[in-house]
Amino acid sequence: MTLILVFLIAGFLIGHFKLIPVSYKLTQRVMLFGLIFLLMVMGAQLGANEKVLADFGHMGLQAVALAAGGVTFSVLLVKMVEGFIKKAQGESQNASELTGGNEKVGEDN
Amino acid sequence: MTWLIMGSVVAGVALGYWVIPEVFIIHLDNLTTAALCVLLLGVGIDLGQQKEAWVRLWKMGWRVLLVPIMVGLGSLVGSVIVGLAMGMPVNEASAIGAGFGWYSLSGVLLAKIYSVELGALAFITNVARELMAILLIPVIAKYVGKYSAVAPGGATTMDTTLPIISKSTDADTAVVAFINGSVLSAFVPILVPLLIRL
Repeated sequence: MTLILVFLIAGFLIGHFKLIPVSYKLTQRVMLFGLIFLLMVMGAQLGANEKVLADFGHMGLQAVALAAGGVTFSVLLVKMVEGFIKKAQGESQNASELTGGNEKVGEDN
Repeated sequence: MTWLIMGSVVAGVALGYWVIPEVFIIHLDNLTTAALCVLLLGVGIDLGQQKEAWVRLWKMGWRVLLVPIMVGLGSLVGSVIVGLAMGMPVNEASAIGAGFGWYSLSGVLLAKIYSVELGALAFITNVARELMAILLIPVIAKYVGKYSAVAPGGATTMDTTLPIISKSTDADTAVVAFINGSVLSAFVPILVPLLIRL
């Protein structure tokens, strides 16, 4: 956990403050290489584990159920606050339009 | 990209089943730790370079943050409820839910820090989530609400599912989707290891 956070925060600081002149392309390539390697190792560990391979169908069903649960509750919770966000955005838009209008009046004068 | 990720896993499974001896796979631990560190450094640089998303968030007001908060909370609650119904421990179900659709990262993180079985389940669950999102976004945008259409995509709303959201909703919702994806992506590498240790 500590190792994960250290590398993540170090990366964020490097990217945010441009501490090392790394190009976007290079970052993407390094990430892709690391990702492919880790995915292949995960695959190899799965392939070598006959118990997991035999259980793959059951795992698929579990995965669909977990994904459906996450999606359903996400939609429900966002729906609960959707009206509030839209109303607040409408109010701030009206306020900025009003302020903009006053400035124009001032400019005309 | 999706095919490359899927292809890597399939190639790995084939290598593990037919080619690489199990003893050799066990000894890959130091190498995979180094690769994970490189990957997380890259993820951090990527997040740090996305100043545009944080500027957009500032302009739209703090209430927009309610979207990623609710998507994150919903993903965790939904996964835990379904997980408990299937007899899964809370830490495992919540860590899988905290992948928020980012299947590659959540899969390798859990495979590395917990178990390869849970890593595989996280990978498949989050692939399933992305597929569901692709199918559901247009329907939810039409019948439920525009912001609700952002919810199924989770962290993928800043890249893979963004074009679908943009096409099914409007420009404002596309910006909210981008912010939602950026915020949730930043939390995946923090929440997954944190929740699995509960």
